[in-house]
Amino acid sequence: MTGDMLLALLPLLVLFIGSVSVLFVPERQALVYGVVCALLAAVLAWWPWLSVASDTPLVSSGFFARGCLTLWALLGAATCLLSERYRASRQFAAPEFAALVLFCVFGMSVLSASTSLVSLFLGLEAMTLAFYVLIAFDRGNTTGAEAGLKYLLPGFLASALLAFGIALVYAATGTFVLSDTVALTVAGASMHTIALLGWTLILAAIAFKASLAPFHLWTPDVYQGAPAPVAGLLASGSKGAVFALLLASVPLALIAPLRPLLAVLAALSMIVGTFAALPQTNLKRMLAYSSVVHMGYMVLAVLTGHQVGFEAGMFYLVSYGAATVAAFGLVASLSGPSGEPQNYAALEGLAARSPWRAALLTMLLLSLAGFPPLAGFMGKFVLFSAALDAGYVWLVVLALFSSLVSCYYYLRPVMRLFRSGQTAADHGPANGGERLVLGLCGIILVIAGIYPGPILRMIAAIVP
Amino acid sequence: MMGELLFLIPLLPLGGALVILFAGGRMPRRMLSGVAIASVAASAAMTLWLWPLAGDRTRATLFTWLDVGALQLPVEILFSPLAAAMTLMVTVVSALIHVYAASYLHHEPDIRRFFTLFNLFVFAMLVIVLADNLLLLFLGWEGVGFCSYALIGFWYRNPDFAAAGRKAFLVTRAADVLFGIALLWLFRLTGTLSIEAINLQAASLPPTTVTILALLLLAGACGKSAQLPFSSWLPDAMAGPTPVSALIHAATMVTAGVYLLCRMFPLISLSAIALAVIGLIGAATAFYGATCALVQRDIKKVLAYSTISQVGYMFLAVGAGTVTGAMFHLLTHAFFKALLFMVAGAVIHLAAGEQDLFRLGQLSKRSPTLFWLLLVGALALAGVPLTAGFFSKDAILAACFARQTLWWTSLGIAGLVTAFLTALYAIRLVYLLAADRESASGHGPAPRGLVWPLLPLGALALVGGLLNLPAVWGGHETLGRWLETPAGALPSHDLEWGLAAATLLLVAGAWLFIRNRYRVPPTVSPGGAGVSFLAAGWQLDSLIRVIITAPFEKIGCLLEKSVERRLSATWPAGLGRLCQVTGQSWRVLTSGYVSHYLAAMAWGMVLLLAMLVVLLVL
Repeated sequence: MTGDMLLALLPLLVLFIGSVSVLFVPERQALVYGVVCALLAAVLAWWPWLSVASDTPLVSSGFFARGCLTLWALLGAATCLLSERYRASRQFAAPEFAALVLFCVFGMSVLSASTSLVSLFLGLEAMTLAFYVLIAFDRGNTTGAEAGLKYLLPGFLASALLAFGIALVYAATGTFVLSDTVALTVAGASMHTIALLGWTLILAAIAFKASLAPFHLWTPDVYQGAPAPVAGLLASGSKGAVFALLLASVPLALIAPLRPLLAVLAALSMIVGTFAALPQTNLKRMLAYSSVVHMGYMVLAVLTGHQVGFEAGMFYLVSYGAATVAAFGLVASLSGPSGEPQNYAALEGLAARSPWRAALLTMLLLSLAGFPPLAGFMGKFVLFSAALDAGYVWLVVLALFSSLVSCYYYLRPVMRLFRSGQTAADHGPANGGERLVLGLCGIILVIAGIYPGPILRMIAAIVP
Repeated sequence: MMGELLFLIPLLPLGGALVILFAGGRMPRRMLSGVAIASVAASAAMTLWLWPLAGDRTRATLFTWLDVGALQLPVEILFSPLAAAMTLMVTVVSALIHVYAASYLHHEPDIRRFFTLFNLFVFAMLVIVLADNLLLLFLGWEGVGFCSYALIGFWYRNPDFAAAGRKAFLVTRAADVLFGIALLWLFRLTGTLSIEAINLQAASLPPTTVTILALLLLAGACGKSAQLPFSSWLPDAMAGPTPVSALIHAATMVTAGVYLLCRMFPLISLSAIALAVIGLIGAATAFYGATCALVQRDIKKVLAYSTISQVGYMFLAVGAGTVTGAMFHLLTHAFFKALLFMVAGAVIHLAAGEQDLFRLGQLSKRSPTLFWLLLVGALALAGVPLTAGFFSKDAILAACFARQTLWWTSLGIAGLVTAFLTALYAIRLVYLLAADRESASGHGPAPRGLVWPLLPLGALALVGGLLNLPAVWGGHETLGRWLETPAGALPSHDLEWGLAAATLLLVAGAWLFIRNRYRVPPTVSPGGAGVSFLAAGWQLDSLIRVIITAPFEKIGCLLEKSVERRLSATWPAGLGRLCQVTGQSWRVLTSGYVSHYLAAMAWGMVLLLAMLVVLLVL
């Protein structure tokens, strides 16, 4: 390992060292320290003298890896900022929480930057391990513990599938390097069937992490039980990291026999997610099923198998991520000591109590539904048109129908917001950190919808 | 660099509107109206400062709004001499009317909404004027339509006023659809939306297409400019506050149609048929409006029909091929009609809201200044020689006669007849307002804010003819040289002298006629069938009701009962219920038992592997 390599991996090191050192920071400054570490990593990733691309082993240090790291670090920082007040009213141990968030961001960054099956496994497991704890972090909350268990047990199964899949792919191709394994599989190596079997197992593990139907059943329970900021990170970051990997390093769509499998996963996710979201009356569960649908859309980007589709996918991730983080952030910001306002009934009359937050919630639900001129519309537009160009007409038709139906379940909570309610507020005004994160998400949603050019150009510059 | 500053001209009123919208609630009233006036006045000052740029036809791009394949949509403005002249008129007249409005509405509680919309209107109007892109122009076009709608219905608590706003919106929208079709078709044909580029390519288009396109554009222009058959909204639009009538429904918005035709003239002029139709519509509308204005009893309706009639002259000018004449009349008309409207507003104000001409009077005694201003405006409208209206109207008629064909000569004669009618109603207005009779009592003298903005307009109405004084009168046709627009066929000197003499005779005849009739203040008389026919605008509203609205409603009711209910209620409700039931039944899957979840994963795995096997075997 040379000095250059160390420099190139500095952002990752900062995240890792941060996650360890934060344990020695006093309770009150721990979360701020976590935010600073995450932002420092994000800045270092683009610091002119340090951002020399070096031929690092296992993880890439290219533009795409840096871009993803920045995104995850920002998500991590947002999670810390959103947890400040939430944590205070529930007596979380701040240093441990910040350490786990940073470690989680570290895992995501390794995952999306991995160039080898080994680092893929390590990154995915690092991220998942941190999540196991984070989900059950609120010890006073029994549904949280239940959620942790429900993520843990299927997670073991998924890890086993992943490890077995990696072993099979290695056995068939004789290499761990991702680009080589994919290329050799496409070329049809001697043990083609074994390699395909391996990839199918890996696909199943990934489908679990990305909660694609029928591997999605954990999602609503876990989102419901997990602390809201953690659920936000889980919904945006962990899924984002998995898809970033699929878009950049593991172009599964190149392997022809896997395409029908991906298409079936996408179709099932859209159908199951849409129908299951319809009768929900719990905001977090509804968002869980909505994320199943959105991940179904994301598979379309993977299926296109070309640059334009990948860019559209990354843009979609940004718009979806901003809306999701803001949604869970809002739930966190509206939580009082008695609990989170998860049920639609608890949201009644919010527009009168806190008009800004009600307006933001309306806006981001509309964005998720894909109303113009918000980011969700632009995201769907670029994504679906890329999928159409790639020839997946029936999937796009299905996606359009599911978007249409989705308006129903996104607008139901919105209606409740503007109804005059009797529920007394047990939440205070948003604090500075919450305002910053929520405001930024809102701005991103508007700008990416009205003037997406700069963001698309930035993405085009980093997608390999 | 200077080019980019041009964007400040429309953006200043927009900024004013936003400031008033968001901070107006916390401002004192004087400051609020001050912001509104200052932003428009600054825009006018900006236009004067940047005036030299117009000589080089400066264009500036703010940013590219959309860039998708062939569709390029730069937010680009073109400061051509034509646009510059129009911009200067719009900003100066708007600034004066803003000052007037500030004191006119001093009792109005909700001036924040008023000035927000008023400034927004100026912004949208300037977008129309400056845009070099048809889509951008269309945005401004719809923007002024919206502001017009909201301001006509400003006193929305009165259902009649709200209905008037709705009518204006719907009628103009019907015409805008045709304009929109022309716009899309032009893009399809030329692959661009830039007006200059379209005009350059127009010559290569097939003649029939050009004719249809020109007629579609004409329809759009007719809607906005209240020309036949879309004219019926303008008299109703007088429901709005008088400053709105002065600015939107006299000086600026209603002339946007003329301006559009002037901008697209290189395309339109390729089709002789379209030009003939434009001339015909112009002459017919001018005649129609003048006849209706003759018998109106509401002071504002007289002016509304007069506006319809005068804009008809501008269309006639475009048809006769003289863009210069059209623009000349557009400018002078803006001066004297805004002046007349604002005088009318002040008169109504003095009479505590009375608008009936037969109950108003004694203006010369109660406010001599206003009376003189009224006289100046009416003389210019009547086309009394040496006033602004005389020169601009004669230029149009001269261009018609100079074509020396039967068609244009007869249109010119129609124009002359209309000129006589115009003189009649203009002088009638003066006599009725000056009549010595018991008039509605009102409050004291007009506030100064209501009077002084009229003075510059009065001066312009008197001497505005100098803008484009024809060579016969020793002038240099300054406006024509500056605009560099086509001036149509050149009239001979004899023709011009003859027309001047004819106008003089017509005006004198009109004056004698009216003097005889109205020397003694007339009593209110119901009038015969002819009068009521004219007063109702030739029953145009009832005609439209019978031909279009009533059948449309019938078909609508029929469809609602047969198709619509099923399509919008029965079937979607069934589908929705189906989705709900499906969703409910799938909830069982999420049982909450981890073992079930693991089983689902296993089945998913089985599904994937089975698919893989099938694929490999195949």
